[in-house]
Amino acid sequence: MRKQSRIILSGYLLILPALSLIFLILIYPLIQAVLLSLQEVKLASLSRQTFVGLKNYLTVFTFVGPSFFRQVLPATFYFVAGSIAGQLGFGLGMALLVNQKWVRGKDIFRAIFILPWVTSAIVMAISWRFMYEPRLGVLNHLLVLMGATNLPGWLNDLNLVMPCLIIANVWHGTAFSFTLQTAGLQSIPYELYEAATVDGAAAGQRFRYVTLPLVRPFIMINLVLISMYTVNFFDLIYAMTNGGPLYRTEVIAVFLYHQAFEYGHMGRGAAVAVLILIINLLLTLLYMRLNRERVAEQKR
Amino acid sequence: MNPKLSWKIVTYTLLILWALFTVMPLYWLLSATFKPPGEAIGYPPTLVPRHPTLRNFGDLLFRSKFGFKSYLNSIEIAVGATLISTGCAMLAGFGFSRFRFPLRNQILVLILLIQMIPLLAVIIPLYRLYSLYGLYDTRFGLMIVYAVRTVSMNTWLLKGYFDTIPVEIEEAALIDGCSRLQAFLRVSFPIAAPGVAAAAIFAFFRSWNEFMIAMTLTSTVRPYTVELYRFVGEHGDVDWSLLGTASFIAIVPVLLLFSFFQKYFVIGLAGGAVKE
Repeated sequence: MRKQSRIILSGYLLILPALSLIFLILIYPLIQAVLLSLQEVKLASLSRQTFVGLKNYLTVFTFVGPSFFRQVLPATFYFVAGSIAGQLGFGLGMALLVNQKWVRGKDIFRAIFILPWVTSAIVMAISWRFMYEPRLGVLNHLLVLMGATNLPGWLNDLNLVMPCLIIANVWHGTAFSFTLQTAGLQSIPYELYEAATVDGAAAGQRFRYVTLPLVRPFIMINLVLISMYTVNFFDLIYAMTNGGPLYRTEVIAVFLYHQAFEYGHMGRGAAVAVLILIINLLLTLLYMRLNRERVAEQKR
Repeated sequence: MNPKLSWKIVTYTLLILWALFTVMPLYWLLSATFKPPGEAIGYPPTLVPRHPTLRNFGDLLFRSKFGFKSYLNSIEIAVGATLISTGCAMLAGFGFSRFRFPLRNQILVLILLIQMIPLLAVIIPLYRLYSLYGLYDTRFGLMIVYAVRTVSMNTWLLKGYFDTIPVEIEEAALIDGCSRLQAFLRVSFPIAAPGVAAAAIFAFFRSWNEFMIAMTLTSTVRPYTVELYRFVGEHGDVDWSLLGTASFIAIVPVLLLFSFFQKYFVIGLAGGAVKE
């Protein structure tokens, strides 16, 4: 009996440091965020707070410049949808190409493809600003070489700025999808392909009836994870456009930051944080369901 | 199963194109490191430096407003965060793997869920708490936030590694007269070393690259990411060759680490996503 309680105690003691860290830095502030969203707190006087109920949420919903429903949410959706389509498409495509048995230099290709994930988002943002730079950038230089006279302003152009950001983010995030999909493809035993070939399946059929069903769970999980990552992604947009021009790229993460640290309304920013949390919670539930399905499918 | 030659050509063309697309933006910025200022912002842009030079390093160090000390801050913060995250995760991973206690499974799932909370959602209360309790603008303050970003995943990763080590090996060491701690340090730890390395590398590079939290929670002890951002902001007309040099110094350590330990990077990258 005494030995039993000692084992229990040791177990708790071992996990205590990690748990207290998580509690202090994540859980407690999380509760604070919910409470703060119901208070009026100014950046200038942090210790003073007054209870205002749901007023912060109302202010966020009725905000003009940018409007939450007509500018912030659409921009976020546009950015997330464009990014995940590109990242998953290219990630899966490249993983399929590299994973063919006869391809040489697999390790080199993989190492290069992962590079953007290892690079800091700030360096990334600077690199892309340099590419898009209207006067000195590579892109406009190439256009001049091709004989163009009407050069686009890229990040300064109201209609081009979002596609420009999405391209930069696809460049960055494809690395993750590529790695995840490679893991998925490598989990397929090679014998399955051989068996399919013996049965007379052509390359297209092998892809349709062997590869696709088996990587499908990985694709679904990939989708949910990068949606979450992209909704919460702040660095790249903040450093490339800071939400501009004319709020065209003011996604929800940047909106939160501006409310709290530029306009100085911590409570209002916290209300946006709670909205972001709700989006994340929904995506997490989806992720858990999909992961359970994947595990169940593999055990079958 | 021999593919047609035309398909092979298509495959290699696509792979090489994507590789070029991947390398291009970084190459463009980093090559400015070795160009004299006139050439970096000159027209037409040059793909290979026409007059290669190292003077930008000197200029950045002595003649610019760029705070070189930010690299030291980054090193200190990232190493501290790595030690805290890996240390806590090792203890917790070992605890979850070797001891059975009430609520064990529930806590494990909870840790996985907590990992999904974005720090963006808690940055406002963190700023407030840090300001009120004297952690604002301290290296230690950043270290512990960064450690939290990776400790959950590392706990799972290391628990997985310890699970693969049979308890019998440790018990044999106990019979040979080792204490529980010695058995862990001398027997299990070396076997789990690849896992520990993967956890440490994951923690390091996540901390090294972080920007948003650093910008919010520091003003003077800022790491290089914030310094780079401020450097762009301060110069209305950006000095691209100096910026390229500053970026070069920042990402070369990580690229070196990456090229030596690529295998572990991938464990950290893919391992977190697909858990049982």
